[in-house]
Amino acid sequence: MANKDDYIQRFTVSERITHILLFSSLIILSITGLTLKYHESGLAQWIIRMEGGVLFRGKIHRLAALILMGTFAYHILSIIFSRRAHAFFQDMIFRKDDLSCFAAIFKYNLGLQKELPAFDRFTCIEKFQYWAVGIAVVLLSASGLVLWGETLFMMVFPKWAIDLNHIIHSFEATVGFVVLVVWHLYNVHLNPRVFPMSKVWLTGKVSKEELKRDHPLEYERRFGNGQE
Amino acid sequence: MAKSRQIFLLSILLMVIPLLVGAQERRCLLCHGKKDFRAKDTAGKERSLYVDETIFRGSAHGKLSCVDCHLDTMELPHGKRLKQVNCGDCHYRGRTFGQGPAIEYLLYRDSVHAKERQKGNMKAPDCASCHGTHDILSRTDIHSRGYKLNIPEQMCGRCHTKELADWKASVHGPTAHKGDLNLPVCTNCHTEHGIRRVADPGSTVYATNIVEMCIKCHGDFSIMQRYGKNTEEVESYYESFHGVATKFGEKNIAHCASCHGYHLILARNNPASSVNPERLPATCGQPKCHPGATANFAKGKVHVNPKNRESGIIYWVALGFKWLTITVLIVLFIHIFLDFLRKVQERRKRGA
Repeated sequence: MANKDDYIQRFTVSERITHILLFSSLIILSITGLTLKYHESGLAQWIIRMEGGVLFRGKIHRLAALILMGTFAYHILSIIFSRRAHAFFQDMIFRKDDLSCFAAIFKYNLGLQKELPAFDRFTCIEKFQYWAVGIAVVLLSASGLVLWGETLFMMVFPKWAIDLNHIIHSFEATVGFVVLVVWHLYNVHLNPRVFPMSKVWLTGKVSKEELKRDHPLEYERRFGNGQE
Repeated sequence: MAKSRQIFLLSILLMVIPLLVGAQERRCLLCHGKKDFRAKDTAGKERSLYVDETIFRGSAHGKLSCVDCHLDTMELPHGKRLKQVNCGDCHYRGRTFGQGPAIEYLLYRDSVHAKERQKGNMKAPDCASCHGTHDILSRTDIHSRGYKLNIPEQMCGRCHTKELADWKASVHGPTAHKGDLNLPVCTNCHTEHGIRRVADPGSTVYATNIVEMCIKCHGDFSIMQRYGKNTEEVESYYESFHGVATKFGEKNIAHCASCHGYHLILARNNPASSVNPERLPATCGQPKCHPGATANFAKGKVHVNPKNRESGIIYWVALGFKWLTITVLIVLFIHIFLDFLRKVQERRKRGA
């Protein structure tokens, strides 16, 4: 077995719990939401019956939404008040070289480029996923709250605005679901490097070897020039 | 000799029987053929006991004789009051003539009308209340009570007067349809014999069943086309949350009649209509629906279909999202495919 020193802490307990709350609420929201959108399919109808009918399904959906919004608020608050989370957020901000990074990854995968660009703490793909989820959560929470208090909303806005809001909520959710399921699940489960599952989300630890391979710039910052 | 006398008597008898049968009708009509033949009924009310022979002979039962239905006639003149005719003797159990076993009788037995009578409410109709007695005509006869256009006024509307008046003033009424046989009459939604209470889940107009009644016409493009309408309202309803929830059996969710009304359904541009833009906020704002609904509820199409170009911005945003989803999917799959190949290669190299 690898030595304890061979591992570094990538995610704290609080970050791991945030992640667990995030994905469990998102899974519940997806199941309860998509079954309503695709209510014509037999599978969706079966799931809706399992969920206790259309109206109870809505209650589950709103409860999960509250958990999601709470998690989101906690994340924002920690970015503001915790030094570590603040640094985490700053590392997530897109930089100039992230633009060329996407092209480079594509070229590398096509075999047009021998080496991957040297990544820092978060790769451009990880940043993209972080922001995609973040923006989706903001959009879906806002449009979801509007649907929740539709009569209140319609005191100010006309009916077509709520119809539009409905469209945005349902389609944005579909795009978000597609990105998460297809891409994120590939990256952390089916990806041949980590199959069947990357355990970072549970242990919060990555090996130094992995860090050196996936995030060489961070490795360099932490341990010097690969001489360790 | 004796034998020939027997044959003679038998042939006389055979000749006389038909005369006797005919004569029996004559004998009934000796009294019942008189226009002023009257008697007091059990309630003490004076009733006419006159039977117009011409009308009876012209009716659907004109070939029968009196005693075919009035089975308890044992002697003429019959001293005591005869029992009420039981239509089910022919129309349910079946006899050598008559309609034979029919579902109508069973349907009626479970209907609200029959149940009310069982409870002792004799105002509820039995067969004769709607169909008449000696003057029953085939429903295809334009003078029949059961002829489609006569049903509301000559059958149901005799008791259900408010519903009749509402229906007559509605878009479904005869004024709006001018003799058009496509109009819905009472029985098209409520059925004929098996009518049930609205609150009965077995009713065709129960909250979760009523949409099925409306879409018999409103979901049929070939019918709607004749009135310059289409079936988009039905499609958009089934796509809406109201429609989905109703389909899943929720009964406190808006169905067609929740907004459009039941008997007094009026066109949207009629100021008295519950779906007129002026009145829509009050309709949506019913206490158990969206209390506090404002005029904004009427701003925008109600039956909005995102798949229809006429929906404007909603159509375009939905279309945009659809293509965004498709593009994202394609790009992701290409990326994943390439990434996967590359990493498999990498692994083999390392393994080698």
